[in-house]
Amino acid sequence: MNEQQFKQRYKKAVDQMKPDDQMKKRIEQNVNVQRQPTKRPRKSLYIVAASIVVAASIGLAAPTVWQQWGGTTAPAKETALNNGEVNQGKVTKGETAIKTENSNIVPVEIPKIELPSDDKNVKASMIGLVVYHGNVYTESATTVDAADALALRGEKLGKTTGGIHELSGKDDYKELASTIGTADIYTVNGYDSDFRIMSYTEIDGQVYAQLFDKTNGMSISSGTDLIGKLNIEGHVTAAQWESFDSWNNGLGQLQQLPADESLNRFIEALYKATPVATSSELEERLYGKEDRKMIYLTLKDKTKVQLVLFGEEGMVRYGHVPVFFEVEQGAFQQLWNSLSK
Amino acid sequence: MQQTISQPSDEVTNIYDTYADTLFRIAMVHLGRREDAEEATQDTFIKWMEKAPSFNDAEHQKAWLIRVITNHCKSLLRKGWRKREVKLGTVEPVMMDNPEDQALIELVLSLPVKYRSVVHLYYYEDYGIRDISQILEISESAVKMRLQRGRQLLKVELEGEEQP
Repeated sequence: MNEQQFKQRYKKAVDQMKPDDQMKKRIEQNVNVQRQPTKRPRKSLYIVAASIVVAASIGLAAPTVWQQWGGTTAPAKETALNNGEVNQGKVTKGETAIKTENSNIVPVEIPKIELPSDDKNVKASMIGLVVYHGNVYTESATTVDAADALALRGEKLGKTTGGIHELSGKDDYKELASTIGTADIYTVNGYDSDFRIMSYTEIDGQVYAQLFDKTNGMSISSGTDLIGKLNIEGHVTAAQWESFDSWNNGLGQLQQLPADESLNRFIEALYKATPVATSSELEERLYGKEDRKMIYLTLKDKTKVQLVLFGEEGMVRYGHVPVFFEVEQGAFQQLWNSLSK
Repeated sequence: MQQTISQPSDEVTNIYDTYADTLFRIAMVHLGRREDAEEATQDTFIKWMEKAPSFNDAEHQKAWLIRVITNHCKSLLRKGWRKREVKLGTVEPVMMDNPEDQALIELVLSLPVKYRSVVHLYYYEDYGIRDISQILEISESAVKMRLQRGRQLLKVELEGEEQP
Protein backbone atom coordinates (compact mmCIF):
# COMPACT_ATOMS: atom_id res chain seq x y z
CA MET A 1 0.00 0.00 0.00
CA ASN A 2 1.49 3.35 -0.95
CA GLU A 3 1.17 6.47 1.13
CA GLN A 4 -1.63 8.06 -0.86
CA GLN A 5 -3.70 4.89 -0.76
CA PHE A 6 -3.19 4.63 2.96
CA LYS A 7 -4.18 8.23 3.51
CA GLN A 8 -7.38 7.92 1.50
CA ARG A 9 -8.39 4.67 3.13
CA TYR A 10 -7.51 5.90 6.59
CA LYS A 11 -9.51 9.10 6.19
CA LYS A 12 -12.46 7.15 4.90
CA ALA A 13 -12.32 4.74 7.82
CA VAL A 14 -11.85 7.41 10.48
CA ASP A 15 -14.67 9.48 9.02
CA GLN A 16 -16.95 6.72 10.18
CA MET A 17 -15.97 7.31 13.78
CA LYS A 18 -18.58 9.78 14.89
CA PRO A 19 -19.89 10.49 18.33
CA ASP A 20 -23.49 9.47 18.61
CA ASP A 21 -26.24 12.05 18.84
CA GLN A 22 -26.65 11.56 22.56
CA MET A 23 -23.04 12.30 23.38
CA LYS A 24 -23.56 16.03 23.21
CA LYS A 25 -26.44 15.82 25.67
CA ARG A 26 -24.52 13.59 28.03
CA ILE A 27 -21.50 15.84 27.95
CA GLU A 28 -23.62 18.95 28.43
CA GLN A 29 -25.25 17.39 31.45
CA ASN A 30 -21.94 16.42 32.95
CA VAL A 31 -20.40 19.73 32.10
CA ASN A 32 -23.28 21.51 33.78
CA VAL A 33 -22.56 19.54 36.92
CA GLN A 34 -18.97 20.66 36.68
CA ARG A 35 -20.06 24.25 36.19
CA GLN A 36 -21.37 24.44 39.73
CA PRO A 37 -19.14 26.82 41.70
CA THR A 38 -17.80 24.12 43.91
CA LYS A 39 -14.31 22.87 43.89
CA ARG A 40 -14.02 19.81 41.83
CA PRO A 41 -12.23 16.91 43.47
CA ARG A 42 -8.96 16.27 41.80
CA LYS A 43 -9.03 13.04 39.90
CA SER A 44 -6.00 11.42 38.50
CA LEU A 45 -8.06 10.94 35.38
CA TYR A 46 -7.75 14.59 34.63
CA ILE A 47 -4.06 14.89 34.96
CA VAL A 48 -2.61 15.31 31.52
CA ALA A 49 0.81 13.99 30.88
CA ALA A 50 4.12 15.58 30.89
CA SER A 51 4.39 19.30 30.85
CA ILE A 52 7.57 20.71 32.05
CA VAL A 53 8.14 24.22 33.11
CA VAL A 54 11.83 23.71 33.36
CA ALA A 55 12.34 22.53 29.82
CA ALA A 56 11.01 25.78 28.53
CA SER A 57 13.06 27.73 30.96
CA ILE A 58 16.27 26.84 29.18
CA GLY A 59 15.05 27.47 25.73
CA LEU A 60 14.29 23.99 24.55
CA ALA A 61 11.33 25.31 22.67
CA ALA A 62 11.79 27.12 19.40
CA PRO A 63 10.35 30.62 19.07
CA THR A 64 7.58 29.28 16.93
CA VAL A 65 6.46 27.19 19.85
CA TRP A 66 6.25 30.25 22.02
CA GLN A 67 4.28 32.06 19.42
CA GLN A 68 2.02 29.08 19.02
CA TRP A 69 1.32 28.87 22.68
CA GLY A 70 0.68 32.50 23.31
CA GLY A 71 4.07 33.89 24.13
CA THR A 72 5.24 36.75 21.99
CA THR A 73 8.84 36.46 22.95
CA ALA A 74 10.82 33.90 24.79
CA PRO A 75 11.43 34.74 28.43
CA ALA A 76 14.89 36.08 28.99
CA LYS A 77 15.88 33.26 31.25
CA GLU A 78 15.17 30.81 28.49
CA THR A 79 18.27 31.60 26.58
CA ALA A 80 21.71 30.52 27.46
CA LEU A 81 23.72 33.67 27.56
CA ASN A 82 27.19 34.45 26.39
CA ASN A 83 28.68 35.54 29.61
CA GLY A 84 30.86 38.28 28.20
CA GLU A 85 30.68 40.30 31.39
CA VAL A 86 32.42 37.71 33.46
CA ASN A 87 35.22 37.44 31.00
CA GLN A 88 35.51 41.18 30.50
CA GLY A 89 35.64 40.44 26.82
CA LYS A 90 33.88 42.48 24.20
CA VAL A 91 31.31 40.59 22.30
CA THR A 92 31.10 41.74 18.72
CA LYS A 93 28.03 43.91 18.41
CA GLY A 94 25.34 42.82 16.03
CA GLU A 95 26.58 39.28 15.89
CA THR A 96 25.99 36.33 18.04
CA ALA A 97 29.49 35.05 17.59
CA ILE A 98 31.36 35.35 20.80
CA LYS A 99 34.97 35.91 20.04
CA THR A 100 36.50 38.62 22.12
CA GLU A 101 38.99 41.18 20.93
CA ASN A 102 41.74 38.84 21.95
CA SER A 103 40.10 35.96 20.11
CA ASN A 104 39.46 34.22 23.37
CA ILE A 105 36.31 32.19 23.25
CA VAL A 106 33.73 33.14 25.82
CA PRO A 107 32.15 29.88 26.90
CA VAL A 108 28.46 29.43 26.46
CA GLU A 109 27.01 28.61 29.84
CA ILE A 110 23.95 26.42 29.74
CA PRO A 111 22.34 26.73 33.14
CA LYS A 112 21.29 23.69 35.04
CA ILE A 113 17.64 22.95 34.63
CA GLU A 114 16.13 24.18 37.82
CA LEU A 115 13.31 22.28 39.33
CA PRO A 116 10.03 24.09 39.03
CA SER A 117 8.84 26.69 41.45
CA ASP A 118 5.25 26.95 42.50
CA ASP A 119 4.67 29.65 39.94
CA LYS A 120 1.91 28.10 37.92
CA ASN A 121 1.86 31.01 35.55
CA VAL A 122 5.15 30.11 34.00
CA LYS A 123 4.82 28.87 30.45
CA ALA A 124 5.02 25.14 30.20
CA SER A 125 6.69 23.10 27.56
CA MET A 126 6.76 19.37 27.24
CA ILE A 127 9.57 17.03 26.48
CA GLY A 128 10.57 13.55 27.60
CA LEU A 129 12.72 13.68 30.70
CA VAL A 130 14.07 11.61 33.54
CA VAL A 131 15.41 12.91 36.85
CA TYR A 132 18.59 11.13 37.86
CA HIS A 133 21.00 12.15 40.62
CA GLY A 134 19.12 15.41 40.94
CA ASN A 135 19.73 16.28 37.30
CA VAL A 136 17.25 16.47 34.49
CA TYR A 137 18.06 14.30 31.46
CA THR A 138 16.04 15.12 28.38
CA GLU A 139 15.15 13.15 25.28
CA SER A 140 18.26 12.74 23.18
CA ALA A 141 18.70 13.69 19.54
CA THR A 142 20.61 10.44 19.22
CA THR A 143 18.54 7.35 18.61
CA VAL A 144 19.07 3.64 18.66
CA ASP A 145 17.00 0.96 17.01
CA ALA A 146 15.30 -1.49 19.29
CA ALA A 147 17.37 -4.34 17.91
CA ASP A 148 20.60 -2.61 18.85
CA ALA A 149 19.54 -1.28 22.21
CA LEU A 150 20.40 -4.35 24.24
CA ALA A 151 24.08 -4.10 23.36
CA LEU A 152 24.12 -0.53 24.62
CA ARG A 153 22.35 -1.33 27.83
CA GLY A 154 24.63 -1.08 30.84
CA GLU A 155 24.04 -1.21 34.55
CA LYS A 156 20.51 -0.86 35.81
CA LEU A 157 19.98 2.37 37.70
CA GLY A 158 16.37 1.88 38.68
CA LYS A 159 12.86 2.29 37.45
CA THR A 160 11.18 5.55 36.63
CA THR A 161 8.06 6.44 38.48
CA GLY A 162 6.47 8.78 35.99
CA GLY A 163 4.33 11.33 37.68
CA ILE A 164 5.69 14.58 36.33
CA HIS A 165 3.03 16.55 34.60
CA GLU A 166 2.16 20.14 33.96
CA LEU A 167 0.95 20.69 37.50
CA SER A 168 3.97 19.18 39.17
CA GLY A 169 5.74 21.13 41.83
CA LYS A 170 9.27 20.79 43.09
CA ASP A 171 8.34 17.94 45.38
CA ASP A 172 7.29 15.83 42.42
CA TYR A 173 10.76 15.94 40.89
CA LYS A 174 12.07 13.05 42.92
CA GLU A 175 14.82 10.69 41.90
CA LEU A 176 13.82 8.81 38.74
CA ALA A 177 10.63 10.76 38.37
CA SER A 178 9.89 11.18 34.70
CA THR A 179 7.45 12.14 32.05
CA ILE A 180 7.79 8.79 30.31
CA GLY A 181 5.73 6.64 32.61
CA THR A 182 7.30 3.55 34.13
CA ALA A 183 10.48 2.31 32.48
CA ASP A 184 13.73 0.71 33.53
CA ILE A 185 16.69 3.07 33.39
CA TYR A 186 20.24 1.97 32.60
CA THR A 187 23.66 3.40 32.01
CA VAL A 188 24.72 3.37 28.37
CA ASN A 189 27.80 1.38 27.47
CA GLY A 190 30.54 3.66 26.20
CA TYR A 191 29.03 6.85 27.61
CA ASP A 192 29.43 8.66 30.88
CA SER A 193 26.26 8.42 32.93
CA ASP A 194 26.81 12.04 33.88
CA PHE A 195 25.88 12.74 30.28
CA ARG A 196 23.71 9.91 28.99
CA ILE A 197 21.34 7.29 30.34
CA MET A 198 18.74 5.16 28.62
CA SER A 199 15.34 3.65 29.17
CA TYR A 200 14.85 0.07 28.12
CA THR A 201 11.60 -1.80 28.50
CA GLU A 202 10.19 -4.91 26.93
CA ILE A 203 6.44 -5.20 26.58
CA ASP A 204 4.98 -8.28 24.94
CA GLY A 205 8.35 -8.99 23.39
CA GLN A 206 8.66 -5.52 21.89
CA VAL A 207 11.61 -3.42 22.96
CA TYR A 208 11.18 0.26 23.77
CA ALA A 209 14.47 2.05 24.21
CA GLN A 210 15.32 5.69 24.33
CA LEU A 211 18.40 7.72 25.12
CA PHE A 212 18.36 10.70 27.46
CA ASP A 213 21.13 13.31 27.66
CA LYS A 214 21.99 15.80 30.33
CA THR A 215 22.74 18.84 28.23
CA ASN A 216 22.24 21.46 30.90
CA GLY A 217 24.45 22.71 33.69
CA MET A 218 27.41 22.76 31.38
CA SER A 219 29.95 25.18 29.98
CA ILE A 220 30.73 24.92 26.28
CA SER A 221 33.95 26.39 24.98
CA SER A 222 34.13 24.38 21.78
CA GLY A 223 32.34 21.61 19.96
CA THR A 224 34.27 19.09 21.98
CA ASP A 225 32.38 20.01 25.12
CA LEU A 226 29.10 18.80 23.65
CA ILE A 227 29.69 17.00 20.37
CA GLY A 228 32.68 15.25 21.89
CA LYS A 229 30.39 13.52 24.36
CA LEU A 230 28.63 11.81 21.46
CA ASN A 231 31.76 9.81 20.56
CA ILE A 232 31.48 10.67 16.89
CA GLU A 233 35.10 11.20 15.94
CA GLY A 234 36.64 8.03 14.56
CA HIS A 235 33.47 6.04 15.10
CA VAL A 236 31.30 6.83 12.08
CA THR A 237 30.50 3.71 10.11
CA ALA A 238 27.83 5.12 7.82
CA ALA A 239 26.28 8.46 7.06
CA GLN A 240 23.21 9.75 5.33
CA TRP A 241 21.74 13.14 4.67
CA GLU A 242 18.30 14.54 4.06
CA SER A 243 17.06 17.68 2.38
CA PHE A 244 14.94 20.19 4.23
CA ASP A 245 11.96 19.43 2.02
CA SER A 246 12.13 15.73 2.75
CA TRP A 247 12.69 16.31 6.44
CA ASN A 248 9.97 18.92 6.82
CA ASN A 249 7.40 16.76 5.12
CA GLY A 250 8.46 13.58 6.82
CA LEU A 251 9.28 11.90 3.54
CA GLY A 252 12.32 10.08 4.88
CA GLN A 253 14.21 10.44 1.62
CA LEU A 254 17.63 9.74 3.01
CA GLN A 255 20.60 9.78 0.71
CA GLN A 256 23.94 8.18 1.19
CA LEU A 257 26.80 10.32 2.37
CA PRO A 258 30.26 8.80 2.00
CA ALA A 259 32.02 8.40 5.33
CA ASP A 260 35.17 9.75 3.75
CA GLU A 261 37.87 12.31 4.34
CA SER A 262 35.50 15.21 3.72
CA LEU A 263 33.21 14.02 6.47
CA ASN A 264 36.12 13.36 8.79
CA ARG A 265 37.43 16.86 8.19
CA PHE A 266 34.01 18.28 8.97
CA ILE A 267 33.76 16.33 12.21
CA GLU A 268 37.22 17.42 13.20
CA ALA A 269 36.23 21.04 12.53
CA LEU A 270 32.97 20.55 14.44
CA TYR A 271 34.91 19.48 17.52
CA LYS A 272 36.89 22.71 17.27
CA ALA A 273 33.88 24.85 16.38
CA THR A 274 32.98 28.06 18.15
CA PRO A 275 29.86 27.85 20.30
CA VAL A 276 27.17 30.44 19.80
CA ALA A 277 24.44 30.72 22.38
CA THR A 278 20.96 30.58 21.03
CA SER A 279 18.76 33.62 21.16
CA SER A 280 15.34 34.37 19.80
CA GLU A 281 16.87 36.62 17.14
CA LEU A 282 19.34 33.98 16.02
CA GLU A 283 16.71 31.27 15.93
CA GLU A 284 14.35 33.45 13.98
CA ARG A 285 17.11 34.10 11.48
CA LEU A 286 18.15 30.48 11.17
CA TYR A 287 14.74 28.83 11.29
CA GLY A 288 13.16 31.49 9.10
CA LYS A 289 15.02 30.06 6.13
CA GLU A 290 14.95 26.67 4.60
CA ASP A 291 18.62 26.26 3.77
CA ARG A 292 18.94 23.44 6.22
CA LYS A 293 20.15 19.91 5.72
CA MET A 294 20.19 17.06 8.13
CA ILE A 295 22.95 14.53 8.46
CA TYR A 296 22.62 11.20 10.22
CA LEU A 297 25.77 9.57 11.46
CA THR A 298 25.66 5.90 12.37
CA LEU A 299 28.37 5.06 14.87
CA LYS A 300 30.09 1.79 15.62
CA ASP A 301 27.78 1.21 18.57
CA LYS A 302 24.78 1.60 16.17
CA THR A 303 23.62 4.85 17.71
CA LYS A 304 22.44 7.40 15.14
CA VAL A 305 23.39 11.00 15.71
CA GLN A 306 21.36 13.64 13.95
CA LEU A 307 22.89 17.04 13.27
CA VAL A 308 21.23 20.00 11.60
CA LEU A 309 23.34 22.10 9.25
CA PHE A 310 22.43 25.72 8.53
CA GLY A 311 23.96 26.56 5.19
CA GLU A 312 24.05 30.32 5.01
CA GLU A 313 25.38 30.76 8.51
CA GLY A 314 27.67 27.76 8.43
CA MET A 315 26.34 26.54 11.73
CA VAL A 316 25.48 23.17 13.21
CA ARG A 317 23.07 22.24 15.98
CA TYR A 318 22.60 19.06 17.95
CA GLY A 319 19.05 18.47 19.13
CA HIS A 320 17.49 21.28 21.11
CA VAL A 321 20.57 22.13 23.12
CA PRO A 322 20.52 25.94 23.22
CA VAL A 323 23.80 26.37 21.43
CA PHE A 324 24.91 26.43 17.80
CA PHE A 325 28.37 25.67 16.51
CA GLU A 326 30.05 27.88 13.97
CA VAL A 327 32.24 25.53 11.98
CA GLU A 328 35.35 26.54 10.05
CA GLN A 329 34.03 27.59 6.67
CA GLY A 330 36.25 25.46 4.47
CA ALA A 331 35.29 22.21 6.16
CA PHE A 332 31.64 23.21 6.43
CA GLN A 333 31.27 24.30 2.82
CA GLN A 334 33.01 21.23 1.47
CA LEU A 335 30.54 18.99 3.24
CA TRP A 336 27.56 21.25 2.51
CA ASN A 337 28.32 21.33 -1.19
CA SER A 338 28.55 17.56 -1.29
CA LEU A 339 25.00 17.31 0.02
CA SER A 340 23.18 17.73 -3.23
CA LYS A 341 21.15 15.49 -5.43
CA MET B 1 -5.14 25.23 40.96
CA GLN B 2 -8.80 24.44 41.10
CA GLN B 3 -10.83 27.10 39.44
CA THR B 4 -14.42 27.97 39.25
CA ILE B 5 -15.69 27.03 35.86
CA SER B 6 -16.91 30.16 34.24
CA GLN B 7 -17.02 29.73 30.49
CA PRO B 8 -20.24 31.03 28.98
CA SER B 9 -22.52 28.20 27.94
CA ASP B 10 -22.78 29.45 24.36
CA GLU B 11 -19.06 29.25 24.03
CA VAL B 12 -19.09 25.71 25.37
CA THR B 13 -21.67 24.77 22.78
CA ASN B 14 -19.67 26.40 20.04
CA ILE B 15 -16.50 24.67 21.09
CA TYR B 16 -18.30 21.38 21.27
CA ASP B 17 -19.87 21.76 17.86
CA THR B 18 -16.57 22.77 16.32
CA TYR B 19 -14.22 20.25 17.86
CA ALA B 20 -16.18 17.31 19.24
CA ASP B 21 -15.73 15.14 16.17
CA THR B 22 -12.02 15.85 15.93
CA LEU B 23 -11.41 15.15 19.60
CA PHE B 24 -13.59 12.08 19.68
CA ARG B 25 -11.75 10.57 16.72
CA ILE B 26 -8.39 11.21 18.30
CA ALA B 27 -9.59 9.53 21.47
CA MET B 28 -10.98 6.61 19.50
CA VAL B 29 -7.67 6.11 17.75
CA HIS B 30 -5.94 6.04 21.11
CA LEU B 31 -8.40 4.23 23.34
CA GLY B 32 -10.28 2.10 20.83
CA ARG B 33 -13.64 2.13 22.54
CA ARG B 34 -16.55 4.50 22.16
CA GLU B 35 -17.41 5.01 25.80
CA ASP B 36 -13.78 5.63 26.71
CA ALA B 37 -13.39 8.05 23.85
CA GLU B 38 -16.51 9.88 24.92
CA GLU B 39 -15.25 10.18 28.47
CA ALA B 40 -11.89 11.47 27.29
CA THR B 41 -13.64 14.01 25.09
CA GLN B 42 -15.72 15.14 28.00
CA ASP B 43 -12.69 15.41 30.25
CA THR B 44 -10.99 17.55 27.64
CA PHE B 45 -13.87 20.00 27.51
CA ILE B 46 -13.94 20.16 31.28
CA LYS B 47 -10.24 20.81 31.34
CA TRP B 48 -10.71 23.60 28.82
CA MET B 49 -13.30 25.19 31.08
CA GLU B 50 -11.22 24.76 34.19
CA LYS B 51 -8.08 26.22 32.77
CA ALA B 52 -9.84 28.87 30.69
CA PRO B 53 -6.80 29.39 28.51
CA SER B 54 -6.67 32.33 26.16
CA PHE B 55 -5.88 31.61 22.54
CA ASN B 56 -4.43 33.62 19.73
CA ASP B 57 -6.82 32.20 17.18
CA ALA B 58 -8.90 29.17 16.28
CA GLU B 59 -5.91 27.14 15.15
CA HIS B 60 -4.21 27.77 18.47
CA GLN B 61 -7.33 26.65 20.28
CA LYS B 62 -7.65 23.53 18.17
CA ALA B 63 -4.01 22.66 18.72
CA TRP B 64 -4.40 23.08 22.47
CA LEU B 65 -7.43 20.81 22.60
CA ILE B 66 -5.68 18.17 20.49
CA ARG B 67 -2.66 18.29 22.73
CA VAL B 68 -4.74 17.94 25.86
CA ILE B 69 -6.80 15.00 24.64
CA THR B 70 -3.75 13.26 23.19
CA ASN B 71 -1.87 13.59 26.43
CA HIS B 72 -4.92 12.59 28.41
CA CYS B 73 -5.33 9.40 26.37
CA LYS B 74 -1.63 8.60 26.65
CA SER B 75 -1.77 9.19 30.36
CA LEU B 76 -4.68 6.79 30.70
CA LEU B 77 -2.94 4.14 28.65
CA ARG B 78 0.31 4.61 30.52
CA LYS B 79 -1.45 3.97 33.78
CA GLY B 80 -2.82 0.74 32.45
CA TRP B 81 -6.30 2.15 32.61
CA ARG B 82 -8.60 -0.35 30.96
CA LYS B 83 -5.54 -1.80 29.35
CA ARG B 84 -7.04 -5.24 29.27
CA GLU B 85 -10.13 -4.07 27.45
CA VAL B 86 -8.18 -2.04 24.96
CA LYS B 87 -6.34 -5.06 23.71
CA LEU B 88 -7.73 -6.06 20.42
CA GLY B 89 -9.90 -9.11 20.39
CA THR B 90 -11.27 -8.52 23.85
CA VAL B 91 -13.60 -5.71 22.90
CA GLU B 92 -15.26 -4.26 19.89
CA PRO B 93 -12.92 -1.38 19.20
CA VAL B 94 -15.09 0.26 16.61
CA MET B 95 -17.26 -1.14 13.91
CA MET B 96 -16.56 -0.05 10.37
CA ASP B 97 -18.76 -0.31 7.35
CA ASN B 98 -16.63 -2.92 5.65
CA PRO B 99 -13.95 -5.45 6.60
CA GLU B 100 -11.18 -3.55 4.81
CA ASP B 101 -11.77 -0.41 6.83
CA GLN B 102 -12.07 -2.51 9.97
CA ALA B 103 -8.74 -4.18 9.28
CA LEU B 104 -7.06 -0.86 8.61
CA ILE B 105 -8.30 0.71 11.81
CA GLU B 106 -7.30 -2.34 13.81
CA LEU B 107 -3.86 -2.14 12.25
CA VAL B 108 -3.49 1.49 13.29
CA LEU B 109 -4.80 0.68 16.76
CA SER B 110 -2.14 -1.99 17.07
CA LEU B 111 0.63 0.61 16.74
CA PRO B 112 2.46 1.75 19.86
CA VAL B 113 0.59 4.79 21.08
CA LYS B 114 3.30 7.33 20.38
CA TYR B 115 3.31 6.35 16.70
CA ARG B 116 -0.48 6.31 16.57
CA SER B 117 -0.75 9.98 17.62
CA VAL B 118 1.65 11.16 14.96
CA VAL B 119 0.20 8.97 12.22
CA HIS B 120 -3.30 10.23 12.95
CA LEU B 121 -2.37 13.90 13.04
CA TYR B 122 -0.32 13.58 9.87
CA TYR B 123 -2.62 11.45 7.74
CA TYR B 124 -6.03 12.41 9.04
CA GLU B 125 -5.71 15.94 10.32
CA ASP B 126 -3.17 16.85 7.60
CA TYR B 127 -0.80 18.55 9.98
CA GLY B 128 2.82 19.00 8.93
CA ILE B 129 5.84 17.85 10.88
CA ARG B 130 6.39 21.22 12.49
CA ASP B 131 2.74 21.58 13.47
CA ILE B 132 2.72 18.15 15.06
CA SER B 133 5.93 18.98 16.87
CA GLN B 134 4.28 22.05 18.34
CA ILE B 135 1.01 20.36 19.16
CA LEU B 136 2.56 17.38 20.89
CA GLU B 137 5.49 19.44 22.15
CA ILE B 138 8.08 17.01 21.04
CA SER B 139 10.99 17.69 18.75
CA GLU B 140 10.53 17.69 15.00
CA SER B 141 13.03 14.88 14.72
CA ALA B 142 10.96 12.83 17.15
CA VAL B 143 7.88 13.43 15.01
CA LYS B 144 9.75 12.33 11.93
CA MET B 145 11.10 9.26 13.60
CA ARG B 146 7.70 8.25 14.92
CA LEU B 147 6.11 8.83 11.56
CA GLN B 148 8.73 6.78 9.85
CA ARG B 149 8.45 3.91 12.30
CA GLY B 150 4.69 4.10 12.12
CA ARG B 151 4.88 3.75 8.38
CA GLN B 152 7.21 0.81 8.68
CA LEU B 153 4.85 -0.97 11.03
CA LEU B 154 1.89 -0.17 8.82
CA LYS B 155 3.87 -1.24 5.78
CA VAL B 156 3.12 2.02 4.07
CA GLU B 157 5.60 2.57 1.31
CA LEU B 158 6.98 5.85 0.10
CA GLU B 159 8.46 6.02 -3.35
CA GLY B 160 12.19 6.55 -3.25
CA GLU B 161 12.38 6.11 0.48
CA GLU B 162 15.49 4.69 2.04
CA GLN B 163 15.45 3.44 5.55
CA PRO B 164 17.89 5.11 7.95
